[in-house]
Amino acid sequence: MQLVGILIMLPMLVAISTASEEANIYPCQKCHVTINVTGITKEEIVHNKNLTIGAHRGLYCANCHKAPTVWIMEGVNGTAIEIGIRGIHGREKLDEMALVCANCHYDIYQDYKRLAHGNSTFTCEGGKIINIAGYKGVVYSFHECEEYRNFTPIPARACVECHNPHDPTMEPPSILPRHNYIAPTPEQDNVVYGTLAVAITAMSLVVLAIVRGERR
Amino acid sequence: MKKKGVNSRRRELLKATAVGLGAGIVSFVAIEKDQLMKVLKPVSLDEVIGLVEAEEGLGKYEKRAREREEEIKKMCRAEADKTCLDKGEESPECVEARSRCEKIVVKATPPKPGTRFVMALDINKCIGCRRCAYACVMENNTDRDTGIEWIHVLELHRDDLELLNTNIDYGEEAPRKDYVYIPMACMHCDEPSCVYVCPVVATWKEDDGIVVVDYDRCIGCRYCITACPYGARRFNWKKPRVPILELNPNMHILGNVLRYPHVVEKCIYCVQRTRDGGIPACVEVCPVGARSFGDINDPEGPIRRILERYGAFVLRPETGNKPMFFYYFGPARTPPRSEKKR
Amino acid sequence: MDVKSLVDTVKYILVNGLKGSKNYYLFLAGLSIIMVYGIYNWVFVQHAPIFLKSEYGGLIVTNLTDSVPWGIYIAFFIFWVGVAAAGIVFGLIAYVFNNESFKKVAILGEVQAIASIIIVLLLIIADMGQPLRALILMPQLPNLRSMLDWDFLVLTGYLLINIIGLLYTVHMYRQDKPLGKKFIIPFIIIAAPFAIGIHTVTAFISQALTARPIWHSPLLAPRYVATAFASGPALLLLVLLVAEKYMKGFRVDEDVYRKTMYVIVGSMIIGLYFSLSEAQELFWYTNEPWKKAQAELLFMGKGEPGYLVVLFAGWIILGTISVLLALIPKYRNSYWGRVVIASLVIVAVIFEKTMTIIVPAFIPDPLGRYVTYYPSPIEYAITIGIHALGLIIYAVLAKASLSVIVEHYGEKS
Repeated sequence: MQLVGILIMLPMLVAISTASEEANIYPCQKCHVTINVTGITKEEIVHNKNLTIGAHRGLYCANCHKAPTVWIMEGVNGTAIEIGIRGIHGREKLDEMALVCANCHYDIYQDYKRLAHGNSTFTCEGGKIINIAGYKGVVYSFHECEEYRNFTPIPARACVECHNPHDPTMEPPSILPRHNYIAPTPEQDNVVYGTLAVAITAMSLVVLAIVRGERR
Repeated sequence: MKKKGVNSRRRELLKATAVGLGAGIVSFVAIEKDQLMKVLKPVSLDEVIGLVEAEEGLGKYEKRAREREEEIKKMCRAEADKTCLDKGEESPECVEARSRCEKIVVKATPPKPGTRFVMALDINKCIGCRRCAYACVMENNTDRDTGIEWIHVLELHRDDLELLNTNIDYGEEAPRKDYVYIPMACMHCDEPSCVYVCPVVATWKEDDGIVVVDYDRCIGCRYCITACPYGARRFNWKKPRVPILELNPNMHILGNVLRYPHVVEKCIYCVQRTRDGGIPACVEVCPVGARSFGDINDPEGPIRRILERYGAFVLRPETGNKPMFFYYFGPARTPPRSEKKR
Repeated sequence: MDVKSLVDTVKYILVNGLKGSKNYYLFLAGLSIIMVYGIYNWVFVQHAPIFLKSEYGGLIVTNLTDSVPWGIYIAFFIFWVGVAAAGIVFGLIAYVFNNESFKKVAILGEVQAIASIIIVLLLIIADMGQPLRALILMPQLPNLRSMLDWDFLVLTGYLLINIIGLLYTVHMYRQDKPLGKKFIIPFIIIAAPFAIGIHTVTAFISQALTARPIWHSPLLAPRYVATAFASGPALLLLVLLVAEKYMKGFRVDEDVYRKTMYVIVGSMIIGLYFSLSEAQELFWYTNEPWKKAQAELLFMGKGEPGYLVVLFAGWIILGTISVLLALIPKYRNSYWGRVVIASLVIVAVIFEKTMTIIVPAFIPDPLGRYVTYYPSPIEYAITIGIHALGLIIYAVLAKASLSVIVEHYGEKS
């Protein structure tokens, strides 16, 4: 039965394989009418999702993607949330996915809402954020604002922008170069020579004074 | 005979003194009166002890902030002219430099009453990438020649949180297994030793908890650097230089305004951002979200959340400074780099 | 006394002090060269961004860092405050214990105090980042909790007291009048506590900081005062021996030398005892890691810079040798014995009180880093220049005041 399904899908997959990897598979309705994800599925070869490794390896696909319309998931408050994929959707759509993560990670979700988990940033009216490569390679967010007052703090990213839902552990980013906490002193050869010259002259004068006869 | 000789020598001495004195007076008067006043009156007493009537919504340093803004804009325009001469009027550097100069604003935002700013850092998450330290440099116009960095990240073994056995020179193998990374900067203590020892009241704790430095008052005696148990303060050992294309135009007179040579500086919780509602640069740039910043008096803020859920500790409590920078071990740990990619 | 005679006294001091034989001029000229070079380096190289608004220069030319912000300037500041404090010893013995032989040399104590305080103030000004601001802002709004403000107050107060004392003494002796009791008693009552006070306040600057464990001990102030009372009189002793040689008609009673040696030896024994006490407190049970690390650097040379343990060992060894020598009457009472003992004491106290106090408190620093400190050439130049200026002032004032002593007490003294 599954073999027949794949055979039907193959020509379509070939047809749309020239697009981006994720764009390939979105929206699901492009190729599927329903998807029957059975209870023990943990791997999906076609879309390269593998739940046997990673921090979510205790889960099955069906824990989040409920058949038959697996692209609609349930949020923690009971609402139906359509899937949002990083790279395809904008920030607003991706922010909705937080409610799905909150099903299991409710405390982290609360932390996140109160800006205690993950990056935060701020916006100014009529301003934009330009990421520039700066000191020692750090990517610094330069805030270009009309006037630098009245900022609003917001979480910097949605859950799925940092954590891939199928392999959520974030790999540690690169380490930037060392601190310089000792500033090098400039060369002072001329001071050395000058001091020696002055000291020798002065000492010779003083010694001369002493030696020239001191008795009254 | 001898007496005549002595008398004539005395006359010579008096004549020489008179000439010297005359020359001194002439040169004294000839100096620009403005410059002289600046030397004799660096900071007016009224500003410091608050006798000046603060305008509505503006801080008492507003006047000084305006003057400094004019000075900095003048310096910036001179630098921009030099850049444009170098690279050409149409080059992107020239355009950027000129626009940067026009955006410069030196604010004097006063503290919001009832606020108490505090920062929290999750040691389980920090991987020692040093981005906070270097974003701070970009934000706060620190001297690039001596490479002043307000934040220093230390590597410590997890079992031994003694701040003596630190390693500040770790490399790209971080984060190592069983090691923690502790960024340290000013703790904005409640009873700061550095404030107690300053001989000219050039540093003090503001009402919203930020310990600030008044760069116009600092005399460079470095007593506060000696008194700080966290090694938080830095000194401008030479005239600070910031390349014009890396200048942050958003400045605060008690914060990241361009400093003078031989004054002390330190982390000021990005007062140019936080007093207007923003968050510090280190908190913004952290790629693992280890830092949190907020008002400890705000029941909906991140700090209360962290203190309630995770608890926190401070470093070197035995020095009695009551630091307001909380470290905590959060719920999840960033895996060390050595663990194989799965 | 009216203004005109006061001006006359000042003129007398200056003229008498600056006038002398050709050898004296050579001596002063040699020192002046060093002084001018030191001041040149300070104004035009180290503080160029302040005085000349230049782009180059600045305190970056020293080897000071954020880890070790105080170096050779503060180190010698501590030593010279001690020497200044001990200038009062002669005055105390002369006027409180009513010793005639000491009355002849009491004025030298004031001269030494003035010269030392001037060296101290110049060292502080040379070390400060913005000296002009300091002179204006400290009086404008001082922080009375900061010991540095109190230090400034007592130092200038002590300087004024000694200048007044010197002027008054020279003024009276020139007119062949004895010093009135109405002056001496209040003078001693004010000057003696001030003398102990300057060195106590200097110690209080360091000892109350929890951030520097090796300083954080109540023993710092007594240690300072004890070694001060060893090195100050030792320097006075040397100057007296030199003055006897070069000054026509100046003779010092044997009693002065004996009593001064007692003070020196007693203070050295107390100073060495304090070092023993410090060693026990730091090593016997102490497990505080930071305190122990700093102590091990100083006492055992574990880490850079290596000169600390050499200086400390020098203090112990030279100090003990000088005490042992001084316990033997043959050496204590001979001319060369006194020269050797006094020199050893001064060298030993310099070893103990300069770099060995300042540098270990900064290594390791609060972040656990070991940043070493060796003074840079320009710090040497400026320090030596300031010392030369102090020596010039000492010589000039000593010559003037001792010649007035000779005049007053007559050739027979």
